[in-house]
Amino acid sequence: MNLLEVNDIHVYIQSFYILHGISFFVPEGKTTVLLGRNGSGKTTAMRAILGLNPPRKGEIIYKGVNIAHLPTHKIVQRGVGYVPDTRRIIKSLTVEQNLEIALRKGSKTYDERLSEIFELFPDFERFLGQKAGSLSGGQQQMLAVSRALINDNDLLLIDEPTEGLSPLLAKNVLKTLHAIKEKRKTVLLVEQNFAAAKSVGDYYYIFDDGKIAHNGKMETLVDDHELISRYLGVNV
Amino acid sequence: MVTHTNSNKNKQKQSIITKISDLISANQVSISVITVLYLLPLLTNSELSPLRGFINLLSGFMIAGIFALSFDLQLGRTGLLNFGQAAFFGIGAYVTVWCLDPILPSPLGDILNLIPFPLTLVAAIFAGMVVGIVMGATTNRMKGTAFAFIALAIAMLVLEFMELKENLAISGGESGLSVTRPFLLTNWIVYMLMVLFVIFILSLFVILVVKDTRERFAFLFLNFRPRRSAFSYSEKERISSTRVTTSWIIGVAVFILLLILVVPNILDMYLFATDIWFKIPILYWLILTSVLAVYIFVKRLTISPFGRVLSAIAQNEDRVKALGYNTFYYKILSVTISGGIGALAGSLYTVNNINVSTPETFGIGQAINAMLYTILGGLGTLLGPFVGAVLIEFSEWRMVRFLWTFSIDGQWWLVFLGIIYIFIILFFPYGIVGSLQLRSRSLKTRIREGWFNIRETDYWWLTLISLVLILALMLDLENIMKRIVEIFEQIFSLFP
Amino acid sequence: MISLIRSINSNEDYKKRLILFLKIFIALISGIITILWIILDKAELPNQIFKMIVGVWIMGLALLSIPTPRKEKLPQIFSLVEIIVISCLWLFVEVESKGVEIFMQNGSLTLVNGLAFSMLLFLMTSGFFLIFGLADIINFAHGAFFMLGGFMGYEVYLLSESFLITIPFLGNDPVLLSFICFIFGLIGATIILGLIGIGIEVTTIRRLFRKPISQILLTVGFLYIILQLTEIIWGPAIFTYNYVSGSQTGIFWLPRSAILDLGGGMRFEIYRIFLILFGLVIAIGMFLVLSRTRIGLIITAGIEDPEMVNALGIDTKRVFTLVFATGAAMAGLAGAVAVPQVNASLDVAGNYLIYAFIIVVIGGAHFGRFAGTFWASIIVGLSHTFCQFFYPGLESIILFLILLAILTFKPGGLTGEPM
Ligand SMILES: Nc1ncnc2c1ncn2[C@@H]1O[C@H](COP(=O)(O)OP(=O)(O)OP(=O)(O)O)[C@@H](O)[C@H]1O
Ligand SMILES: [Mg+2]
Repeated sequence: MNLLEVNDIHVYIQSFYILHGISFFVPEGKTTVLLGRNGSGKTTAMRAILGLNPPRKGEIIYKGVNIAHLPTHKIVQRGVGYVPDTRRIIKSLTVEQNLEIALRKGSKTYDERLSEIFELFPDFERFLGQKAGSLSGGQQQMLAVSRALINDNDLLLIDEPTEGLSPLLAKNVLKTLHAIKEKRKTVLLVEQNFAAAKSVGDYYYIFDDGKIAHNGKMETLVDDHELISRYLGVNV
Repeated sequence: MVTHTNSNKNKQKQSIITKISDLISANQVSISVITVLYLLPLLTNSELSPLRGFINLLSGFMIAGIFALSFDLQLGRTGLLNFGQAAFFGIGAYVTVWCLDPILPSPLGDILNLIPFPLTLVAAIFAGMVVGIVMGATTNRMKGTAFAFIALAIAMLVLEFMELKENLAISGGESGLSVTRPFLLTNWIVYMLMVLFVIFILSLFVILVVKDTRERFAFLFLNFRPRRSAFSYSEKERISSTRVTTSWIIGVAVFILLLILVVPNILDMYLFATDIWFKIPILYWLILTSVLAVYIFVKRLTISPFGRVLSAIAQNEDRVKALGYNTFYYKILSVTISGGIGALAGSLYTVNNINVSTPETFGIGQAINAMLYTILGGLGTLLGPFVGAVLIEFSEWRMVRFLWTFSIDGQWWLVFLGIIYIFIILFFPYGIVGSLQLRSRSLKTRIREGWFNIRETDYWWLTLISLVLILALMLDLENIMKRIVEIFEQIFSLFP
Repeated sequence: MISLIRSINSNEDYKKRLILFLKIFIALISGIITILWIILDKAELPNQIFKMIVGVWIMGLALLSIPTPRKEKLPQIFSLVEIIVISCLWLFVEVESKGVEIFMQNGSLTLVNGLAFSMLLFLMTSGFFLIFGLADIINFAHGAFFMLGGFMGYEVYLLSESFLITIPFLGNDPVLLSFICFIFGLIGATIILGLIGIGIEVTTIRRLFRKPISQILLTVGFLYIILQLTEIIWGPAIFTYNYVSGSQTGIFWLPRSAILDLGGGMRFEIYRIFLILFGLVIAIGMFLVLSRTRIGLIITAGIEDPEMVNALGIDTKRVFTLVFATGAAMAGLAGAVAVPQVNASLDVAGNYLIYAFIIVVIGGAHFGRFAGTFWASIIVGLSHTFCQFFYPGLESIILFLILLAILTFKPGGLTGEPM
């Protein structure tokens, strides 16, 4: 039922104590949203799942196996896709090469997967040979998302996909998120834009200073105006 | 917490003596070590002895330690990897040569020759700081490894410049230049002054002995006192403990005992030694004092607001910038100060070694040495670079003979050194002192709280004992090893 | 002084203008001085160093004008024009004073030698660059790898010669024999050094993954070990191939007298031309591997963002093992191929390590591209050789001056970014 279970993880960056025992669940086929103000530790939680900042204590159960102390590449190879917050595409390679190095061996061929990507982003075909560094911000974001989608990943970790995008582009990204949801993929999403989070999310967790302040179903949160204004600063 | 506020209240009432004694009791370990180090030369007289040779050796080690500290100030504190450290060392060494001997052509040479001896050290420091400013100025644009390389480029540029044929006269070429030894170093009056200073240090040590005798006995007989934490006993109790007359007696006895040990040597030096005999002890004291000065200076620097900004820069420069600090200013100062200290090391090296040549002072080998000392000892630990320097220099010096005792050809020494470095860094990835600090923290608390009821203040005993042991080991290491080998051979000869 | 620096630092606009002004000023002054110097005959000015500095500033400015992504191109255009004028003048004076024949001879000879040296440097440094780019490790043992490659190549050469000389078909043809043995030497050195590289990486360096400072110290340890072992095994002597036709073994197929004569006084050693071609072939091969194959793309990406590559499911540790081994192997290959030119001896290790430093920094250390290393090798090789020929004694100084000049204006080197 739960694809990913995070049990009481404590994460340090160098000597700084960032996450003070966090637990959350990501149910299969649903979109779980992490909310919270800047610096509350959402990105760190994602990096902990990926093994980039492995937790000192606690377990991360993915598909029934504790992956807390596996090396990053082993975790990713188990079917975890990552869209980092600052995109982090490889600027000196072309778009196609970026996709190529992200590709792992699997059931479908490269061309099949590429055509799936083109369904999501029709104008991608034109940029295929272009250097990724010369893409616009929105295009870079799409590349970052398609890099995670090109493999048959079971879990997608998507960190602030709309950050720094114009409203129109943000809408585009949101559409993509809905499309991903329709494919019944499991998504763990960090999203600052509450409206966007509301529309795609099924469950939410609110981070506050390295702890989880609140969680529940998205529908209940939408009604709880006080909670929203307290933790998210959004006036509904 | 409570005692803290208490001592704050009492602050106005404290007399100077209690202030000093507080200062002393706050630094027990260091004062014990310093006393032992200062006393060493007084244990020799005007005869050749292994101790004398050892003191000479120790001077060299301590110079390496100063140099390592200057490197650590950049890498460990500010996060600046500087491959050009040799430039500081070399410039310090050569400025000293130029000051002591009329080598340079007229205008500059004449001015430098006017500087009397101890001030040449200052001149060298100043020259090092100038080079430091030049190097530091590049930190505005160079970060990380780029800075390491541009510093290296500057250092190599100076080296190549010195090695040009045109500059042979001022650099001395391959064979190098030899300095005339300053008059002050071979002078019995200076020796006597230093002896007075040592006796002053000794009396500080005695005050320390008197002050804490009761506590120490508690340690010696283990667990006499009920368990209590370091801060729990009150001010009153501490003062009353100094009134115990037996402890005064013991203190004075120690003092007299040490004097009895030392005075014949001093007299012997005064009566029989020729000028040259004073060189080793005076130079040793000079270097030891410089080490202390540098150490205290750097220590104060690192705990000052300035030092905090430096560590902050090492961790995340952008954040420090965002807080409104001009990081460039801090970095340039850090490199400049480090340049001054490095030049001091070079200057002392010249005085100690007499002969100076370009490859030895400016060469990349010096830069690698500084790096080795610091990283092996422990980055940013202050004590680490010293430990690293002494360890490396010592093993370099001993390795050949050490190998002989196992009948291995002396040629292999560098191979074994390399292997030792690799092992050390594999097992102590943060350097010896750094990793030990990390690991021993839990051990320390365990010892303090559970095992013997030893308090922090009692550590100086252990330090003293182990220091003496190490000294003994150092002096007679190969004999001990020989004995062990012999014993093993005997054991093996029992089984045909 | 500090307050001045501070004020410059605080005022971005002012700083930019000041730097622009400085650039133009330096270009102008150095240009005028150089022109004067050329016209007034080279021996007139007092200090040779001064002349060199001037020359180097100009070279630095010239290099600046090659990649120009920035807005203010004025000093670059300025210096380009200046370079052209000065080179024409210099050519003119040189040709006038020495005659066309000799000038062509010297110039072309130096050019070929310089290019050969550049290729050698490139072969050696490519591995250093990849190791540095991928893991931030400054490999102090790289010069030692290069040196060891020389010894290995030499030993394998002698060994294979002693075997092959018994074959009558080869034994009668010394040129063919030594050619085959030389190739064997190259292959042997490459394989042995590659294995050593793997050994070192797997047993030690890998254990301190992502602790670059500690890893640097490891490489220093290996530098010492390799140096001393080499001295124990081979002694302090210098080894090189025999060129004397009388001796039986160890004769090199391209003795110094094997010369390609193009007429007009242009005579080149065939070995150098071989070196140039060999280097080019390897360079093109490496470019193709890096830009076409998956592993090459991963390495390129890893230089830019190793963590993200790891997060794409790639075992960066393994990739690094491969790169380290390849780097060591390339250094070995370079060492083996260099023996006829630089001999196999202990000094080589330190000298070539410094070359590697300089080249990598000029080419762009942080996030630099492979092409940067290639061009930097050519710059270093050519300027070193030219300086050796025309201003002997200053060839090592000029490299550092070039480095300073380039880094002053482009802190990240030719292709890199300043972190
Ligand atoms: N390299 C680092 N060193 C020290 N502290 C760090 C480091 N990286 C992050 N932090 C701290 O960790 C905390 C959590 O950071 P994190 O990036 O996870 O926040 P976030 O919730 O993703 O914020 P945002 O919404 O701005 O992306 C912050 O307080 C930050 O200051
Ligand atoms: Mg974030």
